[in-house]
Amino acid sequence: MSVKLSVKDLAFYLPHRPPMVWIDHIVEVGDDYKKMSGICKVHLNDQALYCSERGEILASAAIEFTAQAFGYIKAAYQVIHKFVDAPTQTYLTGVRSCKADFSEIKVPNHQILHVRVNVVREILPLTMVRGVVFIPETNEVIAETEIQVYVE
Amino acid sequence: MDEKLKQKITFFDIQGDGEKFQADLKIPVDWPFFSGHFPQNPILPAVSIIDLSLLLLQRQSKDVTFQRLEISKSKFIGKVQPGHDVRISVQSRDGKSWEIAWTGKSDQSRLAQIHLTLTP
Repeated sequence: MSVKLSVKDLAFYLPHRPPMVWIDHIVEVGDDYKKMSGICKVHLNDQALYCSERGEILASAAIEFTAQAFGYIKAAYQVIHKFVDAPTQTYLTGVRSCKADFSEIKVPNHQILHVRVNVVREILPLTMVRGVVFIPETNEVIAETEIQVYVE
Repeated sequence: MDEKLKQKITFFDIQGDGEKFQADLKIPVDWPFFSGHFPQNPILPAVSIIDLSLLLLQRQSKDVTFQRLEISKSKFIGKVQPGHDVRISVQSRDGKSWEIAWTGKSDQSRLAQIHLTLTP
């Protein structure tokens, strides 16, 4: 399902605050809450902590993009389906794999990235999440990650 | 990492060189990531743990350059907080793949275990 939700409207659900809010919008959420999935949009910003003064993106940023995209999509499900769950603390506890090459991405030449996430499996309180960071115009994949998060 | 941030970081008690070394680091209280991660409970994000590890690698092994970063089987076990004294131990067998361990200096607690592969 296509949506346009700003993360500012979901701040209640996550403890992240600027300058550590790296995701801007949720643009798609899957239909199945148990197999949570979705796409988030990142408006690249040369003042952000993931960006160097030369406009380069940290390779490791793919991990934080994936973790935050998961958190905000989880929050979006709660809003869309009117769940009354209390906000949860989610901690990144592992990186099972990450391949990232941001060398061709420069701010401000590139302005938008998308982050697609889906839950691979859940063994509560641990959830394994796959993330793909890509350029939406070309679908070129910049990074692929699989992370483990602990949900309190 | 931004040059201004790099200048905030001083590794000390560096021992070893080349492909096996360790260094101590006091996490800056004013590290800018803390204000948003999280305001009531500041914790160094994994992205910073990885980048500080890469910074140490680049300072100690001058040959380390990379465009492609691969990470596997890495764990972030303990909370790293403002002012935390940590020891970072680094080891490589081939100059491309690196095993990095973060431990607390005061109690030797395991904080993070990272496996990195860097490709030019």
